[in-house]
Amino acid sequence: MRKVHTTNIEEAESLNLTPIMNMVLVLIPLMLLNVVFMTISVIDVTMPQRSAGIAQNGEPPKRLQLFISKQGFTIVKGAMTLPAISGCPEGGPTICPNEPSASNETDKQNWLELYNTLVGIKQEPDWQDHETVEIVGDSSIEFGVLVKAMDIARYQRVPQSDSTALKGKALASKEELNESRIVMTEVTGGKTNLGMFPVVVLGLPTVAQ
Amino acid sequence: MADDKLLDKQSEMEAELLDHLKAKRKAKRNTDSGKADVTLNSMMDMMTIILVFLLKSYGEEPITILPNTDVPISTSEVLPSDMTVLTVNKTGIFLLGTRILDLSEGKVPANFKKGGEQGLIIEPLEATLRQEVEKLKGLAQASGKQFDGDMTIIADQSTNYRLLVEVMQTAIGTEFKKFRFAVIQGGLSQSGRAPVHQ
Repeated sequence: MRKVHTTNIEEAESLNLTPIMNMVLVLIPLMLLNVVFMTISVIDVTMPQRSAGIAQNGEPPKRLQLFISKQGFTIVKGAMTLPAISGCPEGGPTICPNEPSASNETDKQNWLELYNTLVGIKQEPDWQDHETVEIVGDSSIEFGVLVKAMDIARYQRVPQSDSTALKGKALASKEELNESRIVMTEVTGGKTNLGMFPVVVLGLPTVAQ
Repeated sequence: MADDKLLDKQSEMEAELLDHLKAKRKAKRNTDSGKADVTLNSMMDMMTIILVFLLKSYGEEPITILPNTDVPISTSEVLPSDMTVLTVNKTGIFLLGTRILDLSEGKVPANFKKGGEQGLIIEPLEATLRQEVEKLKGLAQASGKQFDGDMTIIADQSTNYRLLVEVMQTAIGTEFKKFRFAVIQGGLSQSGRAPVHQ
């Protein structure tokens, strides 16, 4: 009886694992090739119906509009188009590209000035409760530029070193913007990112100039 | 006397045979243990863990990015959920991985649009989306829910704004209401650019 037991153990030890090993060795590289080690997230956007957007009680709605074109950003606050900032051609867009020679469309635009202008608007008493930004692109604007514009417009930021700020601040340089952190705010059940203009509405494209 | 001699010889032979057998067994055992020295158990354990981990991450992606689609990076942290996924890349428009139409130089050919070049409604996409909405409404009704009209758009970083608007306007016409752009999580410094491929 004892002998039989020993033989069983010996047999169990000598299980031939080679086919399984072969299979596993093939499966692992195959799956490694397919796996995407990038986290996918989403941005909520809305687009009004073509008939929407007409004021209901005669009074024009309070709107903050951001027009994006290859010539730069034009910001329309209520009924007023913001004039070109210093250093940009007069009569042109509010913020003109600051690196026109960059190889990537996204890098050409002056994101720092866009952020500082928007955070300035957010700090005005009339606009601090306003949450919607209407983004209207030129027909030829790339999706990447639109995504970056939404990233800039949606949250209030402060320099990385500032850990006590309760509101977003104007930033000094492109590096500071890139390194900045989003201001956190207390909500019931934890903390969340403090929005600047978190609701994005996309408008119909303007005709390329 | 003769019997004794015979017995001695026999026991001698038996002892010799026994020795021989022992030696043979020993030799056999040695070779066996030599083979069994390579223990694959730990490697098998490791492989099994890796395989399970990979299978898990393979199955849990609610949306799949098609090849030739360079999705831009964004700082958004909202995770995607399962819904109708429309992909727009350099070559065409796809609904849940099925090609609906081809693009020429990043544009929808004018003959596919209602109203020609300036039209905003893409006809083949509209027809496909209508079928999809019917299917989704049936499914929602069967499970006692309401059709919520959610759509995730996965677009290539170089897709132009006009095409995006055409796709969204077509979808609005077929009762889709809420849109989400799929992006890859990353820092603000890389935002708007596609991740670098190695």
